[in-house]
Amino acid sequence: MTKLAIILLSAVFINNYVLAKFLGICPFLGVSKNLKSAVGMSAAVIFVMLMATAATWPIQMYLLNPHNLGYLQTIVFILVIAALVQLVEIVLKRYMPALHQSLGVYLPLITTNCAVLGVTILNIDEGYTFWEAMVNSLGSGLGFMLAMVMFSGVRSTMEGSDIPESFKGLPITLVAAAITSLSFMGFGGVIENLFS
Amino acid sequence: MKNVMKEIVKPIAVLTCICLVVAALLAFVNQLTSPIITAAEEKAAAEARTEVLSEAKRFQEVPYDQWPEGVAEVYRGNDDSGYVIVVQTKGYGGVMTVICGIRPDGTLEAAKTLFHSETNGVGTKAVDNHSGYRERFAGQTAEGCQQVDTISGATISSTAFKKAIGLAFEAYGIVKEAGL
Amino acid sequence: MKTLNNYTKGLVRENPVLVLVLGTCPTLATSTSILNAIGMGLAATIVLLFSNILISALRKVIPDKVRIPCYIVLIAGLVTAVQMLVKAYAPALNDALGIYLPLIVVNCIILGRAEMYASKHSVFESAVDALGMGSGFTLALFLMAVIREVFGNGTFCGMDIPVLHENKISILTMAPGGFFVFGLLMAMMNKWAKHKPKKKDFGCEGCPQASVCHKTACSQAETPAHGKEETA
Repeated sequence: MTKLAIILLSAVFINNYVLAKFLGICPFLGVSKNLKSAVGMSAAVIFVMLMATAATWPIQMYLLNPHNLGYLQTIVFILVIAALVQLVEIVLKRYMPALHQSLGVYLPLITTNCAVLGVTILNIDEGYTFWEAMVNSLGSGLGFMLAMVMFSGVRSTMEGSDIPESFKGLPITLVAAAITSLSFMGFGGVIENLFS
Repeated sequence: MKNVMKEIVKPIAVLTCICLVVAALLAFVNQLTSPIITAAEEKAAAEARTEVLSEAKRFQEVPYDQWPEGVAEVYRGNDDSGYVIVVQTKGYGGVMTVICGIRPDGTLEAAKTLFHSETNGVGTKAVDNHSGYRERFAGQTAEGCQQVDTISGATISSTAFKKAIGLAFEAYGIVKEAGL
Repeated sequence: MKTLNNYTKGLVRENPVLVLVLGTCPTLATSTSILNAIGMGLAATIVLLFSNILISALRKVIPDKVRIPCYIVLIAGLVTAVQMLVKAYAPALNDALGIYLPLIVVNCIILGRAEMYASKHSVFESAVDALGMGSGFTLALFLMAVIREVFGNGTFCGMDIPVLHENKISILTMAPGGFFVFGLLMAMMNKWAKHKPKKKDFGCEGCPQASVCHKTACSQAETPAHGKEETA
């Protein structure tokens, strides 16, 4: 239990995918303009991350590893994720149109979101068990959401400010991201000592 | 009928063909590179072992599965030249893997980090080669290693390193006691 | 002349990182040291070159319906091959790049160029385009890495620089420094490119999903997302 808690909290705070590992920067910069789209995108990412892990972990352990096909990892994972996203989209559209309305637009963008492929590969690299991998994916997704939500707040505050001409647009956003990322560095080393 | 061919069969056939060709090519590249990769990995591991236990020429892994948590691998050097122990602890930024060489007289020859993600310029003081911290452990016994002061300002990193050495001695004790 | 122009556009005018804002993740993550940056740039360039050549050569064969999956398979195969070769012949680089090496698969630059350029142009043109874009990516990474390594670590390609080594700004090599240096570089680009005022925002040009998302998610996030149109 302690181990799962450590994995969850480290994934959310210390090894935050966006702010510490630089995975999923594109949606972080692109979709964080307002709170609503930030939450929608993150919810879709959490959902796909969990689904992808649930699908790829057994594939790696029971299909690729026993047959010494570990080198096909990247290609199999990306295909599984791409197929999964398509499938989820079709299912949502058919059975849950309301959810599709709010998540649907973000789904096609997620196939090439490196955070999703990243989490599935890292779960294998770290040697997690199935449940540890699931918890890690959940934590990573929540960390993504936390960063997105916080950052959308930062961006809305910046909106009316007087920004130097050449910094307008993306440059100032990146500087703000640097400061947000700095605040997350304070979490390092805390989680381990919380439980010992 | 012709439409079905064009709309359904052809895309599936092309995609399948591409998948098969790519997989076959990858299998070929894998055949070529995997022996080189294994050899390179073994060479790197062997070099790291000799670096912390210079007397030993060959190593043999000690078969045992009751090591204390954190001890990853234990190797015995040839002709009683000592033991090399690989330990994992948690530092500030995540897992820290430390390799320790213990001489037959129970002193530490050297310890170094194989992998760490400590903060550059802060935690790295505890794990870098020229910071002086690692050298303080060299030649010490288990008790001596526990007397070494950690670095203020890099407490978590240096404590993790010290803890790793402690764990290595623990494993060493088990080896000695059980006569493995 | 046209070929040369085709090559240089990737370097400056359409620099994939600094102008089109693609491939930000590897740019931020692997620019901590100059050697890593060059390694990453080269690996991505090789993948991009071969993927552009292959996709351009196969553009008549691949049916439109399954083109994206086909591209993904080809690119993933190339990335895996490069990964195995790097592991075999440059294990240190493999350790340094870690997870970002397999993640070249989802580097928007590669899929983006496949979809935007290689699927419509001849093999030779696509190869030149790939080299230009690859060099642009490597150049941007190199610039970032020089700033981060020289000031953040006081070294240049691992060699100590006298005064800076004693006065290093370590934060530049960490995550926040990555964002910060990237922001500064982009501001500088804006300053220099002032004669053609273009309020830069997160780019959809070259995004492989552009045809699918109709900018609903990216650019117009402030307007409530309306239902996605059926994709062909």
